[in-house]
Amino acid sequence: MSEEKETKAGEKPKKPKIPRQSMPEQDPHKRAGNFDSVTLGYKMEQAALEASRCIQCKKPFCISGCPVSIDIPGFIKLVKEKEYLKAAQHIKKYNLLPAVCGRVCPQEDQCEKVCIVGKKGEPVAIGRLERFVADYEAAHGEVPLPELPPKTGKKVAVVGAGPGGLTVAFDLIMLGHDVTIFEALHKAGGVLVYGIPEFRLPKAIVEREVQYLTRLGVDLKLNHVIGKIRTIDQLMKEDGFDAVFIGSGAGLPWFMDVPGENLNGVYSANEYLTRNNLMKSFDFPKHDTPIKKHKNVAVIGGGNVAMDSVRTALRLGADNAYIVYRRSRAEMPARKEEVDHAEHEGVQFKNLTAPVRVIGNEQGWVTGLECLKMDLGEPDASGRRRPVPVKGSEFIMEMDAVIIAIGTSANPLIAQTTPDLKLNKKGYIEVENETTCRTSKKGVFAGGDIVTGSATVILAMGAGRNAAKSIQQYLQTGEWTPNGKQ
Amino acid sequence: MSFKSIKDIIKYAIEKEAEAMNFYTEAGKQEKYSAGKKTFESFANEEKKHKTMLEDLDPKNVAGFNPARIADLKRSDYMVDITYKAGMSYPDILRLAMKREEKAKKFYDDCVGHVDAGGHKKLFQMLSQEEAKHKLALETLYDNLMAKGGD
Ligand SMILES: Cc1cc2nc3c(=O)[nH]c(=O)nc-3n(C[C@H](O)[C@H](O)[C@H](O)COP(=O)(O)OP(=O)(O)OC[C@H]3O[C@@H](n4cnc5c(N)ncnc54)[C@H](O)[C@@H]3O)c2cc1C
Ligand code: SF4
Repeated sequence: MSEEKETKAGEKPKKPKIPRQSMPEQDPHKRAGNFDSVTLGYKMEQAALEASRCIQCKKPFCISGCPVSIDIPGFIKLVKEKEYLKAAQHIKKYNLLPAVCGRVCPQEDQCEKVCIVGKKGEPVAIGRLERFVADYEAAHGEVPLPELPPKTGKKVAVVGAGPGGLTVAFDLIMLGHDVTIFEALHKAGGVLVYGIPEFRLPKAIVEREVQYLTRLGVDLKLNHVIGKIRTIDQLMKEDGFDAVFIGSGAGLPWFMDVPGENLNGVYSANEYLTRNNLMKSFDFPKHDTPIKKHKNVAVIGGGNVAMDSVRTALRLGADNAYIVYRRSRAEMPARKEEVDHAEHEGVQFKNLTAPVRVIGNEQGWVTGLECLKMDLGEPDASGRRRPVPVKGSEFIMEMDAVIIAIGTSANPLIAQTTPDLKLNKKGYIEVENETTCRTSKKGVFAGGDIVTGSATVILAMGAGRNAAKSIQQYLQTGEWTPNGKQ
Repeated sequence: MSFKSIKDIIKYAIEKEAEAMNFYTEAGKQEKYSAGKKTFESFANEEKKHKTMLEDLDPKNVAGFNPARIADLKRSDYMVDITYKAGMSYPDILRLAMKREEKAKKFYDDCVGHVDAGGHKKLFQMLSQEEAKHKLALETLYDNLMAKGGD
């Protein structure tokens, strides 16, 4: 039986009669000058129409494509029945932050990639529907607080208020434990507040979710750097915490190590984005932390972080904002939607181009970027064609800012102050497996980017959920043997 | 540097591999945390293998050596020099190792240009090719790591 005729799921893909509903967007020229949301979300009629494209598969592939196995046909059915609040609550059983994931998850590589409707046309817009129901819920009054179980008397510390830490905190408070989150920054949300810009993820959404947690009784301690103020050992031995979850992310930026990288006007993407998103440098003088206005800005890299940085540079008034990327467009790890948006807004792409030197003036400010043209070399043993420099292809681009977005790794502070915490060779915390999330130290669990390296919001939340289950088991049994078995 | 015989050159190359092995072993010892320790230990092991290969090399086989084309990603060539610091990050450790291989390869390439005897030339080409292979292996590791980060 060919896959065309009938799939393993037993559904016959037909060409969908209703086209995939497009998402209304701000005009590209207008939005390149403001920090408001780029995409505007479905209207009710669009959501209902899009939901009707789902054929309610008996064995839905979309669920297996979702890292946290959301019952996708289940929530879409509720949208079709116009039960939007119920749909939102249904998703929340699996995913604490649907308004976030509906906006930033790479659905094109996950649920939508395997959606059966996509075999003969465009897949059901699962992410847009997820966002719609979450926004609908937010627009329809405060979400009532669920009833909490009696207190267990157990105390859990969560280090880091990113999506991983927030999920652990939610799941554990719902089980009756006392939960304290220690967050280094002055705002909770992790990358959701300091990294991803307002035009892609309005901060009010994250604030609302954080408030929901504090309303539930989670104690949020901001400006608390663990490893400086308290160590993990002190939390456990002196402060009475029965378990600790480490969700401190991977926020230490990498640099290129080319000459001139220490000139003024060279930023790590983390610094550049944090100054804008968290310190609101774009809103000077209302916020007293301005950033220098640059005319020609090069962002090095081709991931989501690079796209966010270059689009921020445009919005801060750059005349020319470039992506300088050593590989070809096909290799860019950024979401396709973000690359398309950047292009429509006027970002200039210099692909197959590698920076080799940042040039500066006598005052120590950036004036240019020397680059080399790259060519894809012969396939190596793995069949991959890697970029190699084209001899004599050096050229200089006039530039007054260079933003480096080529990756990050774990900040070593917690590991340095917790000597019995095992790390892998890349410096990430080693866990027993992704289900138990147990570290080498009794009572200490970890998940999210600090374990996997930079990944995605949904994976960090999935890890948080698994860790919460594992912490619950530990708190109930006190067992610390492989897989909880004696 | 002057080399009188093929044996002399091999002896020198073995010393260089031993130096690299010791460098990585010492760096591994200085690392307080498991992450860097493991990486340096694995590099020290690699260098040990290279050293053994040279120790087992039969000088008679040098004449029959035909250089192969080894891809050069040139990832390290445009980077500034980097020195060992305790607690350095994984990408920095890779950069440090790539730079060392780049310099070793360059040294042997220079030697090729400075000797007349055919046998000596061949041996330096052989040594340069070995370093090129090590450089490629490290640069591939580095390139894979960086590609994931968006570089
Ligand atoms: C600019 C940018 C854009 C991205 N875009 C996307 C996207 O579109 N889609 C997607 O799915 N993913 C995206 N990601 C990746 C995603 O945001 C991360 O994978 C995710 O946030 C990881 O969650 P986490 O909870 O592990 O850590 P984080 O979100 O990094 O949160 C960690 C928190 O721990 C805190 N912390 C660190 N050290 C300490 C300490 N010692 N003491 C106390 N607190 C500490 C930090 O301040 C931070 O608040 C993006 C990342 C960036 C940087
Ligand atoms: S979203 Fe796609 S795969 Fe999932 S149930 Fe609907 S049609 Fe089937």
